[in-house]
Amino acid sequence: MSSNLNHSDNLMEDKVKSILKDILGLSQSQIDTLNSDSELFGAIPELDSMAVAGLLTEMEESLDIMIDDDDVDAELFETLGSLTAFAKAKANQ
Amino acid sequence: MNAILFYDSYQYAGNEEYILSSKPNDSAAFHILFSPPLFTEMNKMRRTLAEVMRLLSGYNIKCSMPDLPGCNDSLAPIDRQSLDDWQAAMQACADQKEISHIASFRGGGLIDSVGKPIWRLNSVKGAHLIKTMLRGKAIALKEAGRDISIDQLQSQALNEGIELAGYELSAKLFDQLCKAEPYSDDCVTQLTLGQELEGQCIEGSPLWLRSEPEYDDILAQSIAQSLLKWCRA
Repeated sequence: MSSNLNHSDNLMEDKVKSILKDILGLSQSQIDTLNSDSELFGAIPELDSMAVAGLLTEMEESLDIMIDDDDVDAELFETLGSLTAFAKAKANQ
Repeated sequence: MNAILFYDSYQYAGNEEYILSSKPNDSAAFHILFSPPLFTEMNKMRRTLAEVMRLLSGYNIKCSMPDLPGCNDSLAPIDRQSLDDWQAAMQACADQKEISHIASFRGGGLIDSVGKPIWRLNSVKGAHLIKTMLRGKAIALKEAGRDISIDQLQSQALNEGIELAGYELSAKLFDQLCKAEPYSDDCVTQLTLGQELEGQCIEGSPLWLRSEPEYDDILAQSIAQSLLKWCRA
């Protein structure tokens, strides 16, 4: 059960990384260095507030989730882990 | 391969609108009309699409990419345009320029119905385009100290129009975009970046998602090869 959970976490993290790559135009080597503790907002210059608008809409489209903008705050983009956890919670709703 | 791109024009609603066209060395076997991405996505893809036109002219395929009324260099007021106008402008362009095929990109798929075979790349619902621009505006307003929700902006837009990403959208255009979806029938070949369809796969980067305009040679080459195969099929 636990290994299934980890597998599913990794799958979602990979999807979120792929969306970040597309939106921010990051190289594969940059993406490969990201892990769940990697800081996003403030640490990746390409992720500015306007890129966030595209990121949220693309997450909705690619992950087939709905995001209420009232749920969105700066903490969400703190790390890859926090963004992945948010996406996973939305996908399970 | 360095075929010349030049500005042609078409007439719509009493105005002369520019078309960026390619000029193959020999008489063109096909003439593809590009149905361009909408709003800022057009700016982000324009250079790559211009390169696609150059590449195809090397195979004697002429391409034309029109300015929609109110967009790019058009002198028509953007705040008086509707989706119907843009669809009618595409039809006028197709009729006046003897088009054989349509290639539409992203939001171009909402206005590409002109009675010709259609090749589409990553077509998108109008609501998707609107939501991204509304989110961008809400974030910009919040940073300026004005906390206005997306629902409030949407309500304002439907009543009196709204400025989004530098485009003054009329209430009618906003409403039409919220409801618009690309139509589909047998004459539409629908492609998605990175997904294989009948032995073809468009490779490269989704430039329309980026914050700033960029160029992707892999994407330009891949689109050109796909259009070449499709026209000759």
